[in-house]
Amino acid sequence: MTETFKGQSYEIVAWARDQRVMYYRSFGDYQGEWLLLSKGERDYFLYKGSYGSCSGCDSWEAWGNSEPTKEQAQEFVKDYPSFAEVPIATMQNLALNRTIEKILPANMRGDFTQVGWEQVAADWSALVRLEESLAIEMVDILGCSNQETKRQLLERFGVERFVTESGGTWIERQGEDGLLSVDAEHRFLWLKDSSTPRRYLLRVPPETASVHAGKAWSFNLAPSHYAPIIET
Amino acid sequence: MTQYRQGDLLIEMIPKRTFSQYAKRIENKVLAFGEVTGHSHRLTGGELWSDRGEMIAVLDQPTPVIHEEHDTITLPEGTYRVIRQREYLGKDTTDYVND
Repeated sequence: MTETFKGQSYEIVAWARDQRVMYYRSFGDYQGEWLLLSKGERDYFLYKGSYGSCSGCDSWEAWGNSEPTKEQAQEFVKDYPSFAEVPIATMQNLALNRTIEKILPANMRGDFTQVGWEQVAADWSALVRLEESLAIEMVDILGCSNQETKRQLLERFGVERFVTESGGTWIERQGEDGLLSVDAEHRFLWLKDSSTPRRYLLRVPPETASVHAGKAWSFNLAPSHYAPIIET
Repeated sequence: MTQYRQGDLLIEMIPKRTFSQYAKRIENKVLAFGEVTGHSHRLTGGELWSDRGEMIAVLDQPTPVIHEEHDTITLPEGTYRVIRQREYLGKDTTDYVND
């Protein structure tokens, strides 16, 4: 049976080249930029491009081939060469020194305005530390904005160790959930996923007073308005 | 208004509404996509729209919302707004939760 692409739009530029997608995100609403980090046998690859909201301004939508074969994909991605190729050993050093932001030229680091390139670079540093089995430090957890990456960091680091080394105190424990204050700036919800045994650390504003208020804030709702009847 | 939560999404029933001229139909019906996991929250029927920064689902019959890891939630017929969970990043900035 012929293998076809099942991923998300421009992830195809990595799939067509037999690289594993480490991170893919679009920045914008109707239009904007996308950023992709992938890993091949010897290198990490950075790809970037733009997308639009219609077939006239977006190559992927214009192509209209939702499940292309590898050969079709390889033809499509010829227009998308990598922006940077970084040997694995170099990427390890960049992650260890937390200098991944230097992959992009200085005049391009102001892009990706939803979160900023610095935040993306911090998330990539954490991703590479996990991928390459490098040491995890407190700053990696505190600085990471991706929930799945942060969950894996904590799993490696240890929650009890995190609480102890951060000097954090529990403001509230509510069943399997909790509200943890680390310092004046860092307050986290410690949450159990409803469908899996996994647990997550979600940063909330430092003035958050309870687990329920934190959950409501995370959905931009007043505490009195947050009351889901089903959670999975 | 009745709310349903699937992981980092809250789906809230709202009154039927009309869309603005800027509304765009989201053909793949993906409510949210994980940048690292590659997993997605997806409607299996109905219509999904993006309208001035809001995501709205219009369902003319009970419709399951599926995800690779979360249990399926079947939404009753109706109109819904989809709220993505957010996280505090410091200095009064926030970002949507990504996984």
